[in-house]
Amino acid sequence: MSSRTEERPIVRGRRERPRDRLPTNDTGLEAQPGRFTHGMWACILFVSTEAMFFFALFTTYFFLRARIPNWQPIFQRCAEECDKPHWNSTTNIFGLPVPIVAINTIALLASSVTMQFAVNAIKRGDRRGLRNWLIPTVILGIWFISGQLYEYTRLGFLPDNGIFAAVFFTLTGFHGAHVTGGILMNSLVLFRTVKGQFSAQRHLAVEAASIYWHFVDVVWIGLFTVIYIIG
Amino acid sequence: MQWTVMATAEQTFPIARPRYTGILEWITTTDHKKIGVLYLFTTFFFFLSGGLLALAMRTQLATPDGHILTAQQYNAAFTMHGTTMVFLFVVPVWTGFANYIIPLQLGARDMAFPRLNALSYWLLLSGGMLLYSSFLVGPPAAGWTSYVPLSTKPFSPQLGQDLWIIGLTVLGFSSIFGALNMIVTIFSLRAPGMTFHRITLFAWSVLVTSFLLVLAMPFLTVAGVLLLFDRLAGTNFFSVGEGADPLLWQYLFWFFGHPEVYIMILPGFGVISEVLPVFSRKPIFGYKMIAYASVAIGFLSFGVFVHHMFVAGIDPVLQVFFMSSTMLIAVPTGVKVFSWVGTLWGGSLRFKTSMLFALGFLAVFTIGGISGVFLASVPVDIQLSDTYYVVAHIHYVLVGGALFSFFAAAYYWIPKMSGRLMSEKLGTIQFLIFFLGFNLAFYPMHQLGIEGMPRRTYHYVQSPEWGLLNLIATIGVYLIALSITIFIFNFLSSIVMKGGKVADDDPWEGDTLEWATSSPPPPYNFARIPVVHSARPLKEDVPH
Amino acid sequence: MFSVRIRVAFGVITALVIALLSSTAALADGPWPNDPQGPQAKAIADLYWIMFVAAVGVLAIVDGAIIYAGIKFRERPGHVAQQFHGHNFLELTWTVVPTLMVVSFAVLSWQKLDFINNTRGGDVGMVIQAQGQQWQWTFSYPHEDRFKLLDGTYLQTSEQLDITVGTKVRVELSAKDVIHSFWVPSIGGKKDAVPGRATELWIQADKPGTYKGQCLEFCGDGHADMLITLVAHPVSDYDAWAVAAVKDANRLIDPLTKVGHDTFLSLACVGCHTVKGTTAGGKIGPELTHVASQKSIAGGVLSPVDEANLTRWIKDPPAVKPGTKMPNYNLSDQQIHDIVQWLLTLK
Repeated sequence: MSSRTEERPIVRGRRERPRDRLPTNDTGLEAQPGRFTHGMWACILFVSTEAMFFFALFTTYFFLRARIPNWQPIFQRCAEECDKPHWNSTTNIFGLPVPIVAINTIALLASSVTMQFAVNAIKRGDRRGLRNWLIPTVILGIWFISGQLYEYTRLGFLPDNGIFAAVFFTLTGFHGAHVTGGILMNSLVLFRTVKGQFSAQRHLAVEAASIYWHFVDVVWIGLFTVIYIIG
Repeated sequence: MQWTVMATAEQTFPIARPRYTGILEWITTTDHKKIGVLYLFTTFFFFLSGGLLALAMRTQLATPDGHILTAQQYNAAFTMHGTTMVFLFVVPVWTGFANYIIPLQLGARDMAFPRLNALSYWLLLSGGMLLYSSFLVGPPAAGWTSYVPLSTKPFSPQLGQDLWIIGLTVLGFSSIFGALNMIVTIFSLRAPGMTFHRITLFAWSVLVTSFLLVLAMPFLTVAGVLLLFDRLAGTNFFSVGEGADPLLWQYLFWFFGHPEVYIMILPGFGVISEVLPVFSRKPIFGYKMIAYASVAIGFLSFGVFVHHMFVAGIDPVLQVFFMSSTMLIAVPTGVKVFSWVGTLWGGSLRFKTSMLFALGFLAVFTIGGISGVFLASVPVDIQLSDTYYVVAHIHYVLVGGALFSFFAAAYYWIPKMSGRLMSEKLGTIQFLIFFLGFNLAFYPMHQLGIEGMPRRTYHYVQSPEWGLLNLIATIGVYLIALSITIFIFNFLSSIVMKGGKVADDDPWEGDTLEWATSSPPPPYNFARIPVVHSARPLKEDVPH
Repeated sequence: MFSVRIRVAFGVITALVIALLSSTAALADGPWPNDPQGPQAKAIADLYWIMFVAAVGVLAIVDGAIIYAGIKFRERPGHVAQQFHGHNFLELTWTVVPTLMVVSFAVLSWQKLDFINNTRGGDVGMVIQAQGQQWQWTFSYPHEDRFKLLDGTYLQTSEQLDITVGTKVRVELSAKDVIHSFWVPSIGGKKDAVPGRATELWIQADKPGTYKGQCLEFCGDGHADMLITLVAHPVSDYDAWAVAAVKDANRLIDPLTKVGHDTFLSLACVGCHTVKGTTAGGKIGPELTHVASQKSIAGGVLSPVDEANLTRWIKDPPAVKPGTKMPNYNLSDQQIHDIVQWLLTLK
């Protein structure tokens, strides 16, 4: 190798270095322009990996459901009498028994709508609108998670009461954990909104939080359909 | 760790002085190069501990009725060996190289998320320590695949099995965060002018690998969590008595586990695609074919996983589908191998140690690839699955593939990282011993498998006729250990004790951007971010 | 130094490649690809050799090209690398040809698969249930008169499976605890026994003989010792074997000695002694399967093997043979009597 170094051309009194062969960067850029910002890419990828996580959980559900001949969604006192899942954890509204899960679902769907209004607001640069829509989003999220915990206490079965119970608690439990994470994220966004950190141009955190929140909502629609309706 | 002391830095880019010095600097660092070095040292340490377990196992198997290990110890040893090599060495060692090299190759100053990068590393270390703490409380002994029901509480009561799950979950998070970071870095931090057809093939393979990690890892997490709930919370996902089906674990595990195989080998492919052209003084043959083959392998890898379950009593339709898809994945792999041979063709080959390992890779990985086609054929797999043939196959692709390319990468990039060259003489000796030892260790295992020796058995008293081939394999493994000792000695004498020749910016006359900065690179990598007009920025004068 | 290094490196590589290729061919008989003993192994061996020839061809091309390139294109004075980026025709060739190869392998394999998976074909001559448990296989023979025992149940054996030559035998697999896998290499066919699932395979031996097999799916501490011995009898001998096996089995369940049998199996005896055909599988002490036919017990100290000597031994082993590993279990006289009566039937 030493023999090669002698042959190198001498540029301005010193050995030529590889970097001297590079053209001058007169583009004024530090990087090739991309489609999304770092944060948005990260958000997309994070939601992808989360989607695969729930995909695995749904796979578990459908695999067990297909493999177990006497598959029975055991909601309370319903193991023998009824062949369809029965929402026994109900609450009374104006004398009508309404399943708790229905109220929860409505709350979560509504929170997705309010979240979108919040994003639309900050895109217009409307910080007040952002704050005013974020507050109900956080409240509806908390409503959902409290409602779910209340429903757990009313179900009458525990995770170790058979395979359906295990699947039920694992799927809804992981979803609940994600909702909790979403609430914390939304609260942080709300805090930063109050601090005045967002504008029409800079609001990545709001968009990221909203993508995540919509994702959690979509997963719930899947869970609700699969667990409560298909059973 | 002193060997990465900064070289004379050009003071054209303002950079904050590190807040801490010494060990604290390493703990608090968010510099991709320092984190890369941490990754490499940590994973190499785990590699050594996994290697010691392998030595113990091979010593036990040198004779038909060895008494070095009891059955329980042997089972724990192969479980920890497999888990260590897969999750604590091969996967994260590529993260380590990618961490150091990818931002340099892209012409970036750091990863997209430097603090997340540090978190990935510390999660890796925590996961590894959690896993290894199981030695204090009864190590897991259900194999690295931990099939249920063997890994459920009634059959594996030891706490180590829980630690195995928790450790792997932590490692999963580490991998996912690291991969996410890598994808964003490759997507957003390429130097101006560096389109996707101008990034290095190493970057391509790391990109595909990272996508596989992001998409496959959650399946392992879910499988682990379900098992953990069964073990700790009394749920019944895997209790056969409750009507559960043990194959659920296998589907979940292998949906992750097969992409994982390509996660381990694709970055090695990338390294080979860097090393061969440089030491052949030629451009890579068929850049686009190799890049697209990586993508094809990535896609196909999600559609082949059931080939691990051909004898598990699955539907014949599944057998045929997954046999065909598995056969097909040999095609892009073959395209790569032929393109590498094409890269050598007409070149001017320099047999530096890195090149020797790359050529060794090419020679032996082909055997591993071919034995993979045998295992893909359901009838042949019916005879060979769970025998030593499978052990031979995975070691030909993992040691022959990943470990050969690890050494190729180490000899190729350590001069960039340290500013010094490793001894070529020791390197050549190391290669020869390694090549010999590797083939002695693993080639006889094909024959053992064909003769019917099952994997995961701690003795074979009923068939002493397997003794000779086993003894040869054991001798081979000792040669591998010797070769790795030489590598460590080479590293210590050349790099740590500074006995190696000083490497200039581009000791191998490489043409990618990492060679455009000093060795070792300054904290900010490039004084000015370069602009590129081809896949070989440093050889743009060469017509192509 | 340069050329010596190349020569050594390539010398070693060439020698190894040749050694590796020849090593497999050198073994002319023995393992299933060379010497299959049943139609299934035969079918798979044919496929194996077709693929093997193709594999050697591919390996020779790739490794040959590497060695050729290493010599022909090594760096030397006056040798300049040619700069080219690809070759469309070559790239197309080495995409299409391997694709055709693997497609033909897949088709060939598929053709064999129907044959291999056909466990319910009309010519099945016998159905045997095999149950895997940690760490032993138990085989249940069909409910035919020749396998009927005194108590009305049917013959069961462990570890050893006896079939007749030329008969297609369906093996119905089940697992009691964890996953096991049934395989007799030279007969061919492997299938997991999965708890909660019914799986099956078929076996057929072409020649009489004893074939070794074992559990192939890792199943815990005793996995390495979970063996299978497959004995293929000529059709003419099979009934004689069945008579003997039934006689042995009947001896174990004889109501006169059943108390002793049960006592033995419920005590610590099973931890050290093996009695074939029972759950006693200890390896520390001597095997007792045919203890009543032995000339002596206690390593020659007591002879002959009769009621008096057996009683004396079990009552206090260290008193008879100081230093023996078998302790005095302080069994009651009744227990000792029952056990001795049973042991005396183990001829």
